[in-house]
Parts: sequence; structure tokens; C-alpha cells
Amino acid sequence: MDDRTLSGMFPFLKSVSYLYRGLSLKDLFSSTAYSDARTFAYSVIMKNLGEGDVIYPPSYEMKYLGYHMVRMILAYLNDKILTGRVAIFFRDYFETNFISIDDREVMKRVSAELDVEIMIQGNEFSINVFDYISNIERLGDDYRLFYQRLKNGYVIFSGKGSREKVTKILRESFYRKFIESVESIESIPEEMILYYREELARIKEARDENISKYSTVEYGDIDEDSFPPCIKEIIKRIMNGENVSHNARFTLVTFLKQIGFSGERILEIFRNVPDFDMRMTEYQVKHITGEKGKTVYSVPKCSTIELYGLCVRDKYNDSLCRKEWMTHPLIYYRFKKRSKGSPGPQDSLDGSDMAKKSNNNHE
Amino acid sequence: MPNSLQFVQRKFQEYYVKNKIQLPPRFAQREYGFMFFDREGMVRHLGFSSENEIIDFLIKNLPAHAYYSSAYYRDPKAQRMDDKDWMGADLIFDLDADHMVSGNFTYEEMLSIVKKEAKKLIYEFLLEDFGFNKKDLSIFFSGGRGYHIHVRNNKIYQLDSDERREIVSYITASNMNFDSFIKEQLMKGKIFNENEGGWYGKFSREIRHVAILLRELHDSENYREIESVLKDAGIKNRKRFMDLLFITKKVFREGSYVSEKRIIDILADMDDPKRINYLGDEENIVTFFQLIKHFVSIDLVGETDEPVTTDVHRLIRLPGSLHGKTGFRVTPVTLDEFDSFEPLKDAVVKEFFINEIKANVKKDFSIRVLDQDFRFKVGEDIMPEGIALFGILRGFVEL
Repeated sequence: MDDRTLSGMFPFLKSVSYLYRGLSLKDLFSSTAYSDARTFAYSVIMKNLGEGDVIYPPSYEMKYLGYHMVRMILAYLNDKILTGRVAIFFRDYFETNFISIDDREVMKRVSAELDVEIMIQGNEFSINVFDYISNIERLGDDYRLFYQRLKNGYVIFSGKGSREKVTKILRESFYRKFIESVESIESIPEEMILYYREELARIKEARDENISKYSTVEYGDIDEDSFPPCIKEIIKRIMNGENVSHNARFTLVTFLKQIGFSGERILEIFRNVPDFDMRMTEYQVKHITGEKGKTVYSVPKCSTIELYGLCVRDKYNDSLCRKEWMTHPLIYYRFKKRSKGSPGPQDSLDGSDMAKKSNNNHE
Repeated sequence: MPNSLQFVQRKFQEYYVKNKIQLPPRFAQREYGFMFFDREGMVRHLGFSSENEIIDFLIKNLPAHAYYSSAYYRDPKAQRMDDKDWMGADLIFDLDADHMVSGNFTYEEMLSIVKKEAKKLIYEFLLEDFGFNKKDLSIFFSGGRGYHIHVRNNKIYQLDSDERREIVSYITASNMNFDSFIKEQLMKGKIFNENEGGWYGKFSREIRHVAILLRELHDSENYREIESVLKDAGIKNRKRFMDLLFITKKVFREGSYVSEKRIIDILADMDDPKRINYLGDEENIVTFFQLIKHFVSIDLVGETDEPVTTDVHRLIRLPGSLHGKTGFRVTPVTLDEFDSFEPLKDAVVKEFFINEIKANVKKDFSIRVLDQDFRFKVGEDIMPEGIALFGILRGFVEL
């Protein structure tokens, strides 16, 4: 597989960028020679704003150039939610392409550029364990390290489905790196602003129409102030366009449902996650809240939330969270809400019997 | 100043004047923190740029406890954590008797339990599974109730809290569902390959170990122990289950008859991954797996204090410093010496055992140090300075 082909399939590869050295940004954003690349870039952005479909260019070169234009446009818009969505789009583009290649050397080269060390022997893939754990946060429980064949510093995948699993790990790394690569663009090229003015204006319009529409959520009667810090933190992260883990989503949905949110209101919050997919999210929310399926899932208790790594007790230094009897987010919510009505007794409960926070050292 | 405090500080001073401390790599990038005998709280956010500076500080200030950060920073002295500019952190494992030993044990017994756990952590997990090199590991006796293992390796410095937590979860198998292992093996009708990585191989190897153990207990007629083991594992119909294990079966290999063996011997000696089926129906196999699961959870699951490993700003005891609750030295131990390392000999400051001192014992206590048993009853007594130091720091003795 030559570098030109690779540059279209895996446009993030630094080792193919030499092919495009010396191209002028002015030409890129104005010359008819690159109109296919511009169409591709524009359609990717618009698609992720909910308008139209992606128009793929026929040549690898244009795919490569379009990809990098998208990065520049995203840097210019500086919109976390949109960047996250486009990251998901290219993540899937990566996944499709990676699964289609058979050349071992190419696989290794692509993985190495994603900072994932891989060894391949026959049908067996070995991933460096530390590269592995850096890329499983958003994947399901099946990917937890204790369910893997770990040996000598490598997680080993062999047999059916290995290739797909390895690809999942790589695509997660791609996703993170894509966002970093957008955020690390420090100066927006003037040529783009100058020659791509009209398109940028249309993109902004579409962005304002779509994304701003669902960025705010009202809570009505429900007392948001009384939410425990862990729940607030998850909401905050979602509002910031972060692609939070499955466990975080699960915790949030079960909690909100329990305190009286409707399925629709819950969905409103999830509109902010970058990989938002209305049908999928609706299905999952209904599943978790018991509207579909037999099981009604209950809100995880504090110790479980802690195991998920979602407990932010230390970060917020919340005295209520430090109570010995504080074992469940719903207890927190109920207590806080009630004590707001009658401020008297709360003071005595707070503070005096507070478990002393252990300091930063130990035996 | 009360006599006891004066004495303690004099001993600490003598120690720091005569002994070196072992500075961590990149020591100038580390934050330092100290606790003192005569005031509350911790003084932290300190930084040092040379070895002499640290020694000088120790001699002048005689801290009860000395710590440095597992993390290294561009500006370790910055007062706010956010301003320090975190560059990375060693990977730390803390094994402490407080977290793993319950029941009535002497200090010595506790330390030996923790040491066993530390060995398991090092060999089974850090070297074998995670593939660290021996040279990546530094082991320290904490001077108190446990061991610290510091891992330094290019792959780990940048790991964040969640990634470190994943390592701990693997080691402690916390929230791991062993039943899925059982299901998978039942479905395939065979056990995992013993050489398989991760918990799969561990589970499979344990089958052999448990079979050998039960056979030994049975053949030495230690029925009481068998009963207690099976009961702990939650096995019902224990008599029927044991009888089953000792039934003789015809063994076939590739379809042809080989010999007759007891099921327990088949499980203990044969390499056939399908040998589990000699147990008969699924119910028996499940019962046997239940027993294995029990043994895995007590024998194989690793111990380590999670918050220590996941905290990427942790302060940890400074090697070579004295522990302010025992007077013992935070002592480096090489892996090769680890087996023969005896904390109550090798971490004891021998100079403190040259002279004796008269002291007032407030509470009965005993301790075995430097191969000698010391036992004191309330009242005045003469004892080595090192014992007085230990007694004062533990609150058993006054001068």
C-alpha cells in the first residue's frame, strides 16, 4: 500500500505529510483544483450540524486535504460539542478503513502513530498494556483489564473478533488525538478566513441554529442545587461536550429518572454528548429506566460510584459526602433538599461529626 | 521541653548526622512535606535542589515524618497544586497491615503477612503480568506496618488516576465477575489453558493447586480441615462432593482406554483441558468451580491500597528517613534480598541499641527486635535506647 493511498485512508499520519509539503493555503481554500477537498470538508461539518450528507471525494489526496481543512475549520469555530461530533465521525471513518487493511506492516505503522504499540503474530495481536488502559475509558465492561489475557506487559487478542477489538482500541486513541490535534492549532490561517469566508459564514449560521438550540436545559421543580457533587460533575462534563463513559451515563440516567425526570428531559441533556445519536440514546435511556425491557436499574450506591472513578468527594470537599451514613446519591439529594426547607438542624449535623479527612501521607 | 521529646529529637539528630538518605531520582522536581513532633499538621510544598540541603533541613528541623511526592513538577514549591505544573508520577503500590490484616496478630506476624502479599504483588502481577523489569522496581519497608513499591518506567509516568485505577482493579480483581469465567468454561466444556494470560491462566492453574491440596488433606486423613475448607467455600452436600472427587474413573485419551484413576488425580495430574468433565454433570462441575473461585479470591487476588496508587500527587515516605511512630528506618530492599529481609532487624537503627536508659513504662508492651524479645511491665525499667524510643513513639513509655 503506497503512501498516497494511506494518506487518504489515514490522513492523520505524520509520515505521509511530506506528500503535501509546499501546498499553499491560498490555493487550498480558493483554487478549483481543490474544490473536491473543500466540498468534503464542508459536507462533513454540515452533516455533523444536522444538515445534508457527506460528499466523499474520489481521490485519496482530496480526502487527506479535506480532513485537514476540517481540523482548521473546527479550530476556527472552537466549539467543543461540534469538535466532539466530528471526532466521532472520523473515528468511524478510521475504524472502517483500519478493518479493511491486511498489510501487517501498515497496521503496525498506523498503530505506532496512534501511540499504541502492537505486535502481530499470525492471528494474534498483542497490545502494550499501558497503551491499552489509556484507551478503554469509553469502552464497555468487556474491555476492563481484568477480563483480558494479560501477559508480560501485553494484552493478547487471538481468535475470533480480535481484529475488531484491536481496532476499537485504536479508534479510541484516534478520537483523543483528533480532538488534541484540533485544540493544538494555535493560529487560524488567514487564508482560510479570507478565501473561505462565505462557507464559514454558512457554517456558523447552521451551527447557531442547531447546536445552541439544545445547549441549555431547565430543571423546573427539580432542585438541581441539591444534586450530589458526582451527579453535578457528570452533567458539567456532558455540558462541556465531553464524551463521558458508559458508567457515568448509566449513573446519571438512573439518578435523574429516580428523582422524577421524564425520559425526554434526560434525552435533552444527552444532546450535548459528542456521539449523540437520538435513536440509540432513546433506546438506552428507555432500557435503563425500565420503560423497555424487564429490568429496572437502580441508582448505583456511593461505593459503586467510587469504583467507577466518578466520586468527586475529595475534589469538592463536600462535608455531606463525608458523613458515615452517606452511602447513596439519593440519600444526599433527599437530605439536602429537605434540610434546605428547615435550615435549623442541618448545622448540627454538618461539621461536628464530620469524619476527619486523612491527610496525604500514610504509614 | 519534656524529657521524652528531647530524647527522641536527640536520637533523630544523631541519626541524621551520621546517615545518608536515599534521594529519589529527579529529586529537585519533587515536592517535600514534613510532620513534626511538637506541632500539628504538615509543612509541605517544599523543594530542595541538593542533597546537602535536604540533610541540613532534616538535622535542623528533626521532623517526625519525612515525605516526598511520587509526582515530579516543574515548580514543586508552588503553593497551589495547580501551579506546580505536573510532569508525571512514579507508580506507587502501598501494602499496609492496616488494610489487610484483621484479628489478633503481633507486630512481627503482621509484617510477615504483608511481606507475603508484597511478594505476590511483585512476582505474580508486576513482573509476570505487567511485564516490568526488576530494575523498574524499588521496594521499601515503610518503617511502620508495610511495604511500598515504586515503579519507574517510561510507560507509566504519564498515566492518569483512572488508568492507575485500572491497574489496581486488575490486581485486586475488584468488581470483577468470576462467574463469567465459570460460564465460559462450562459453555466450552473445557477449562482455560494454564498458560493463558491474565486471570484466565490464574484460574486454570488454581484448579490443579486445589486438587493437589484436597488430595493431600484427604490422603493424610485431615478431614476436619477439608470440612472447614469446603464450608468456607460455601459448598453444600460436602460429603457427597468429597466422595465424588475420589471415585475411580476410566481414563480415555483420543478415544482409547488408558488407565483407571481417581477423579482427584485426574484433576491434579492430567493436562487435558477437558478433564473437568470427569466430574460428571454440570451441577458437579459448577460446585467444583465454586470451590476454585473461593480459592482464587483468597490465594490469588492481590492486595494494595487503592487511593495511594491512584493519587498522582501522593506524598510518600522518604527512603532513609526515620518513621516517627517507631523510630525504624524507611529501608530500601532489593528484590534479591527481599526473601531474607527482616524488618525488625534490617530496618532497626543499630546505634540505638548500644546504650541503655532508664525509663518509665506506662503500659505493658513487648516486641522482638534484633532477634531479642523485649517485654516490659508498667513501672521503671532499664532498656536499650532504641526500645525506649519505640516505646515513647508508641505511647508506652515516658522518660
